[in-house]
Amino acid sequence: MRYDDPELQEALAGQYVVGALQGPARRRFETLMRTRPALRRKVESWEDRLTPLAEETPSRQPPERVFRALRKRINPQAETGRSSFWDSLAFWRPFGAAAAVLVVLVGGYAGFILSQPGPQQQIAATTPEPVLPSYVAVLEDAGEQPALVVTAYKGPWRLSVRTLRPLDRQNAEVFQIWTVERGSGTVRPLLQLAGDDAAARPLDKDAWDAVKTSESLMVTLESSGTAPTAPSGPVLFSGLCIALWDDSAPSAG
Amino acid sequence: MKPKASFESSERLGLLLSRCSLGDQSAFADLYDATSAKLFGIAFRILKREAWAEEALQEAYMKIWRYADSYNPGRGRPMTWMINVVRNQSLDLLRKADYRAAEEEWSPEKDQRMSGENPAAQAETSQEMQRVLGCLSGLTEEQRDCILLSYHQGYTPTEVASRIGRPVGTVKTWIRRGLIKVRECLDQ
Repeated sequence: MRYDDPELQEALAGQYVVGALQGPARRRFETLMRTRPALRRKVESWEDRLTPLAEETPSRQPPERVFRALRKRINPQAETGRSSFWDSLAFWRPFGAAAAVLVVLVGGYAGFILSQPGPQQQIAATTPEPVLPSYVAVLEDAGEQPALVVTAYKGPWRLSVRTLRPLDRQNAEVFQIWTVERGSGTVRPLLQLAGDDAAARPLDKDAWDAVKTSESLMVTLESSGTAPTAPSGPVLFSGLCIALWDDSAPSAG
Repeated sequence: MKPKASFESSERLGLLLSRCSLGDQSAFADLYDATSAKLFGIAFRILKREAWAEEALQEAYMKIWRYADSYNPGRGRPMTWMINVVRNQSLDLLRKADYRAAEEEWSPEKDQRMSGENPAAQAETSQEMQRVLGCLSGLTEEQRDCILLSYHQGYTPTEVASRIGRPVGTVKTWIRRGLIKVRECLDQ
């Protein structure tokens, strides 16, 4: 893939930090950075190299009204004296739509747990015990709108994919979910999704380890009937893979 | 090893950022007091309009407040992170603007150094600055001017090309080759 070329990555990262990437190229680069930790690190290296230039810029005292406006934005109650339940949710707004989905998921899970029978009743239950997901990723499009929720469970290892809205694809295409490894940025295929419906699949140890060591998950469109080893098209959806539950305890998988 | 005073300064800013990530508004006020003049200067240099620089500064501090927990001390100094937040905010605003206010143009000759800040931190910055300037001095004049016009003024290659009367492809090549030389020099 073109953007996997380290020299190209280095050149683009430098040009991005200098401010020489313009128009769609700059936006495309910012989208790529969201899913490629290695690219993000190259940008940070360039920021480290060049920031001394900016630090020597003459200081200039901003007008007092800037801080007044900031104070009003970070603490609206202080200005109006109002406080409500809805105001308290403002805490979550900066974290975007993905956080809202996460809150709903966690809230939904808590409700599920509370609705379960007590310990004595569970002894007689024949259905599997509810298991807290170990990892969750809310995958968003370029407009930061959530599209998919991917959850990974252990005992046994399995993956659940839920679509949050209809997703466009041709008949000959499938949605390929990839893991992006923390640190190295290595991309590995995880699961293919043929339709918009929810999917649940068992995971082998390699796939589980890939989820466990991933920084983010992302989705591309690929031709059905193929087993791609690297994305062939643009990233449609991506999101951080968040560990919800301590996975350090040994598990039979 | 970095000078102690500068380390303490970075340490203090890092601590303030940590407290911001916990929703501590007094820490945010202290952080603003300690850094806003420098960040406003950077926004103003790129945008050249007081009102635009105020808007960029306000949005940059909102990002700093919201994403304080994403600052990773292992990846650089707090000021480096904040400077790049305000630079990116300023560049985004500039790209959205209908026109460029370029009456007050920057040039290396007009550039000024500020005094009155933490002397030890400034000494360290000056050392780093000297290194970067030393590496920039190894470039051709065209490469250096194109990089500095982009970095300090936020000019796109197209705008640089129209200002110096050279093809945009040539400007892009100068920037690309100049950056390769800068990286080789700084990473030695």
